[in-house]
Amino acid sequence: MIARLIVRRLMFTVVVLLGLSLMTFTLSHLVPANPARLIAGPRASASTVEKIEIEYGLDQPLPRQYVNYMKGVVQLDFGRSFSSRKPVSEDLARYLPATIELGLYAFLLSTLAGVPLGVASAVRRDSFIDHVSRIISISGLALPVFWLALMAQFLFFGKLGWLPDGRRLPDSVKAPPGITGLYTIDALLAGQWSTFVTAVEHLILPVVVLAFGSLAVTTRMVRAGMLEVLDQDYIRTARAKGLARPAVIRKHALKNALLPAVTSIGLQIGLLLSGAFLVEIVFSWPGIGRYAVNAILQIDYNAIMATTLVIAVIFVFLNLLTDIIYLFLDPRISF
Amino acid sequence: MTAADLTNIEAMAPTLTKSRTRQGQLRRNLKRFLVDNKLNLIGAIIVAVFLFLALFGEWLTPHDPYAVDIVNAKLLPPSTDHLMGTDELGRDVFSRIIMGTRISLQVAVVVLSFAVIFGTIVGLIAGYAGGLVDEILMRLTDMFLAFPALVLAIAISASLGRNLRNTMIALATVFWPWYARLVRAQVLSLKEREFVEAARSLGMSRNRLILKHILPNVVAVIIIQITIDVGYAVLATSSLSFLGLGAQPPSPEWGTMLASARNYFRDAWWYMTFPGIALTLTVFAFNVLGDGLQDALNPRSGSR
Amino acid sequence: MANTITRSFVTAALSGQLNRRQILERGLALGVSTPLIAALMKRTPASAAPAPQSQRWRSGLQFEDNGTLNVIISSGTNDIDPHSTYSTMGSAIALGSYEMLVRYQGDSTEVVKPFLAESFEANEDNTLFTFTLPENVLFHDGTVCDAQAVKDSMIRFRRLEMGPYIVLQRFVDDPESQIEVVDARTVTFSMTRPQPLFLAAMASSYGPFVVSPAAWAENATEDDPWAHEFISFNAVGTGPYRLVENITTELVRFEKFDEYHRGWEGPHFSEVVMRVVNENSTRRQLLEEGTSDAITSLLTGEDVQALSENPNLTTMIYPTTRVNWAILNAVRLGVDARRGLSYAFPYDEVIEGSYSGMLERSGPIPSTVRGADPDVFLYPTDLDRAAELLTAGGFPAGSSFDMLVVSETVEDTITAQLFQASLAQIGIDLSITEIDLATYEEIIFGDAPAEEKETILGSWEWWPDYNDAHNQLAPNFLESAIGGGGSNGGAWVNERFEEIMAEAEVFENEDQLLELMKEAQQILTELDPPAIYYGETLMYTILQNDIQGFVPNPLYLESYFFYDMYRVSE
Repeated sequence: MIARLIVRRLMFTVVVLLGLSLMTFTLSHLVPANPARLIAGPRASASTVEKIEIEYGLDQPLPRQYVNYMKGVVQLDFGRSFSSRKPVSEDLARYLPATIELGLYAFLLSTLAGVPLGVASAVRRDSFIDHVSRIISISGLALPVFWLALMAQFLFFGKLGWLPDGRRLPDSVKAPPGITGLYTIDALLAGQWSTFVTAVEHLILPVVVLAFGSLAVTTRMVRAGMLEVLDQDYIRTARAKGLARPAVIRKHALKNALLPAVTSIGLQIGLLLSGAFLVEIVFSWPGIGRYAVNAILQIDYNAIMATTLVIAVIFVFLNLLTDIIYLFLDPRISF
Repeated sequence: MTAADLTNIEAMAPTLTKSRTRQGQLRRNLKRFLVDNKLNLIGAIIVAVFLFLALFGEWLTPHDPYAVDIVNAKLLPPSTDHLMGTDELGRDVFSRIIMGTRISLQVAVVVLSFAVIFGTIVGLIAGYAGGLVDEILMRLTDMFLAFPALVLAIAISASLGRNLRNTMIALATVFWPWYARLVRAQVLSLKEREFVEAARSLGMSRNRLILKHILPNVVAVIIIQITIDVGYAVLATSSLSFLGLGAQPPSPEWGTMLASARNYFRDAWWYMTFPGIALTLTVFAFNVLGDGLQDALNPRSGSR
Repeated sequence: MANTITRSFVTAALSGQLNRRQILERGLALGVSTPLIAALMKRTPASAAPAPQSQRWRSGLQFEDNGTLNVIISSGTNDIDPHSTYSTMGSAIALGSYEMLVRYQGDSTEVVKPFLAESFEANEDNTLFTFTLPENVLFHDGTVCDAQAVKDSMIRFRRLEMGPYIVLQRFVDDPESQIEVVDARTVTFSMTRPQPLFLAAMASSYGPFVVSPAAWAENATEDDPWAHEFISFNAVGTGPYRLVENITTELVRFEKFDEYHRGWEGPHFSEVVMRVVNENSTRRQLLEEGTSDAITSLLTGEDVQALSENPNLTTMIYPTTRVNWAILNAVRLGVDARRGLSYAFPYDEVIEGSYSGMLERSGPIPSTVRGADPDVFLYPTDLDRAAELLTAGGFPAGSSFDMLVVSETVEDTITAQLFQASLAQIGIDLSITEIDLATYEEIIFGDAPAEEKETILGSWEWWPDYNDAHNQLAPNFLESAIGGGGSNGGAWVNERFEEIMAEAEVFENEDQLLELMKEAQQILTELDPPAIYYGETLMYTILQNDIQGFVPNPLYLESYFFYDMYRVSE
C-alpha cells in the first residue's frame, strides 16, 4: 500500500513540477527586459548584446527555449545563470547547503523547544507556562519574520555587539573542507574546533529568528493534540486509577498527541522555506532564498526557474516523507 | 508565513470545524467570546481601531503623509510634533503608518474577496459534483498547494512586474486554493446530512439547494478563515513589499517603509520600529480574533 | 578655539588660498560638515597639480607583512575579460590583475605615466607613439610579456569588438598594420592623423589592458577564437595580483603575484579581499569595528557623516568625471516642456536630500574633463518660469508626467519624490514607477521607439572612458546613439550638435575643441536640453587610518591601485 502511495505521489509530483516549470517559464518571460543587456553590462554595444543573445539561445522562439531548457533539466543541467554566467547547478551546489544548514537547525530548535512547551502548556492548562506558550504561539505567527530579523540584528549586532551581523563565516576564516556543505558538521569532521564555534556563532541569530514561526506552530499543534488526548476516556481512567501524571503523559498521551505535530511538519517546511527568503536577505545568508531573490531582481531566468523547481522538489518530497512517517505512526489512517 | 499556511493548520486540526450558527448559541458564545476571554477582547479592540484608522485615516493624520521636508525635518526622533519621528524625506512616520493601514487592509480585502469567491465556486462545484470534476479540480488545487505560498507569490509578483496591483493578483493566486479545499470539505460533510438529503428528496433543484442550504452553512467556516487570513494577507503584502516586489515608494505601505527604514536604522530606530509594531499588531489582532471565533463557533475546541 | 580655527579655514577657503584638495583634507581634519565642505569646494576651481601623496612614507613606521586589504563592494561582476567588461567593477578588478601600458598619474586627469611600459614617447605631431617595456615581464601563467604580446593583445581588444573597443578603435582601427613590434621590448603605434588624445585613451581603465596571448590561444575554440569565455572567468595579466576567487554575489579575492615586474620591495598587501556587502548599515558597522579597511561610495549621507567623525577612519572626498542627470523624452516633450522641467527641478533639495551634498552643479560635461565650459548655463529652480514654459509646451496645470526609478536605488527614489513634490506646487502630477535595473537599461539602450516610453525616463549617470568631452557626449546625445546600444534613450536629435560633434571627433588643436564644446554645452543646456543635469558627483572613500597610499583619480571610479596601498602600524 505504501509503495502504491509513493508511486502515485511521485507521478503527481512530476505533473506538478511540469506545470510549475511551464508557469515559471511563462511568467519570467513576461517581463520586457532583455537579460542579454544585463549580461553585457551597462555600456555594451548592440553587437555585444546580439552575440550574447545567440550564445544563450535568447534569440530563439519561446516554445523552443522551453523545450531546450527542459531537455537540460532532465539531465540536471539548469543552463547558465545570466548574472554569474556560471552553470546554475554550480550555484545551487554552492547555496543550497547554506539553506539546508539554516533550515535544519531551525527545525531542530523549534521541535526541541516546541514539543516540551506544548506538552507542559496542555498539562498545566491556564498556568503561567500555558500563558507563555499561548503568547509564543500567537506572536510567533504574528511577528513579521523580516522585521524580527532586522530588530534582532539591530539589537544583538548593532547595539550589543554580541553576535555577528550575518553571513556564514567572516572573511578571515576559511570554509572547512566541503563534505556535507554544512559548515558546522564539516568543521567537526575536519577537527577545526574554532571554525565550528565561529560557524555556530553565525548561525544563532538567523536560526532563532527563522525557528520562531515554526516554534509557534509546533507548540500550538502539540498543545491542541495533548488537550484532545487528555480529555479522552482512557486517559481519565488511567488517571483515576492513580497512575502518576508523568507516566500517563509519557505512556499514552504524548504518542497520540504527536501525530498532529508530525502532520504539521509539512507546514513547517513551507514556513521555513518562505521564511528563509526573508531571513537570508536580512542576514546576508548565502543561501538559496537570497540567491532566488537576487535572481528575481536581476531577471535571471535560468536561476529563477531552477530555484523554483528545486524548492518545489524539496517541498513535495519532504511532504511525501512526512506522509509516510505518519502512515507508520498511525496505521489506522489509510490514504 | 502566509494565510495559506495557516489555513493548513485548521485543515489539519484533529476535528473539522462544524458550523452551528443557530442564533441563541451564537449570542451565548459571543458573550463568552468577548467578555470572558480578555485576549479576544484585546484583539477585537485592536481590529476596531485599525478599521477606524483605515476608514477615517485622512482626517486623523496630524501631517500630510506625503509632505516632504528634507531641509527641516529629516530623520527627526519622536517628539510631540512628530509622535513617531520622521523619515529620510522629513515625512511624519505616524501619519504614514495611519495611511498605511488603509493600504494594507484594502489589499487584504481585495485579495480575500477574489480568493474567497473563486475558491468557494471551485470548492462548491468540486464538492457537489464529485467524481471526475472533483478529481480534476482538486488536483489543480493541489498543484498550487504543492508550493510554499510566499515563494509562489514572490515568483508571480516578480514576473508580473512590481506594483501593488500585481501583488494582489499574486496573493489571490496563492490564497484561493485553501478556500476551495475548505469549502469542498464542508460541502462533502454537509451533503450527507439529513436536511440536505431531505431537501433533495423533496425535489429541490441543484442550484437552489446550493444557494439555500449548503452555502449558508459554509459561510461560518469561511468567516473564521477570512478573519485569520486578513492578518496574513497584510503580512504577505508587506513581506513582498519589503523585498521590493510590492507597493512602491512613496506609498506608505508598511513593508515598503521598513525596506527604506533599513538603510537608516543605525540613526533612526523609530523609523524601523513603529511600522513593524503596526504590522505585528494587525496580524496579531486578526489572528486572535479568528482564533476566538473558531473557539466560539466550535464548542469542541472551546477549551483552547 | 576650535571655532576660530574653523573660521580661519573657511576664510582661507573662500579667499581662494586653498585648493580643493586642501579644503577637503583640512576641512575633514577640522571636523567641518560635509555639506559645508562641498559648498566651499564649489567656490574653488579644481587645482591642476596637487602634491602627490602616494609615496607618503614616514619614518619610524613599521610595515605589516602579508597583510590583507579588505574592501567593501556592492556587487561583483560576471565578466572580468578586460577587453569586454564595461562596468566600474570590471575595471576595478582588471586594475588589480592587469596593466595598461600607461595610466593617469595620481589624481591627475591630464598627466599620464608609465604603467606596464617602462617609458613612452610621442612624436611631434602625435602620429607615432613608442612604448618600451621593462625586462622580464611575466604574465600570471608564466609566459613572457614582450612587444609581440602587447600587439597581440591590442589586436584581440580591437577584433573581439565587445564592450569598450571604441576606446582603441577610434585611434587604431587596423591594429595589425598600425602596431609594429620593433624589438622584444619596443612597440610602436602609428596613427592615421595627429591624435593628441591617444595616450589619454591608452590610460583608460576600460579596455587597453594587456592579456596573456598564450592564455587565450590555449583556450580558444572555433566559435570563440579569442577565448572570451575563458578570459571572462580567468584573469591572466601582468598585474601585481592574481585573481584567485571571484564569486559575483560574495567576494573577489586576490593574492600577490610573486614575479610581478615591479617587485615586492617596500610596503604592499599580500592579499586583497573585495567583499560584497548588501546592506548600508552593515557596511558602516564593518568599518566601525575595523573588519573592513575601505569603502568607496555605497553609504547613506547619515552614515558618511557619522563615519567622517570617527577618529579611527579617514574620509576622503574628491571630484570625479561622472555627471548625474535625468533623461527627458525628446519625442514626447518639445523644447519648451523640456526647458520648463529643467526650471521645475529642485536642484538644491536634490543635491542635499538625495546626494547629501555630494554633487556639484554642472552641465553635461564634468568640470574635470577637458572641454568643460566653466560658465555653462545652469538652470535655477524657478517654478513661475517652469509653469510658463510647461503651459507653452502643452503641459498646463493639471497635466501629468511619468518617471522611472530603478528599484533599490535610494538616491533616484528620493530625487523622483522631490521632483514630484516640486511639480505638485505648480499643479502638475508626476507619477513614479519603480522598475528593475535590467528593464530600465533595456528602456534606455533598447530599440523601442521613444513614443512608447515615459516622458521622463529617469536618472542616469555617465562618465567618459578617458579625459575627453566628445567621449562623454557621443554615447548619450548623438542621433546614432538612439537604440542599438547607445544611451540616447529619449531620442534627442539636434542638427547643429551633430555637426559640432563630427568636428570635435577629429580635432587637432585644443582651442578649437574648447570653442566647439562651448557651443555644444549651450545647446545641451540652455537651448535644447535633452536632460535635466543634477550635477557632477563628488565621491568619497573611507579608509581605516592605518591604510596609506590611496590616491583617488576622477577617472578611475570606485577603483583602487592595490599595489600602491599599504598598512602602517605605529
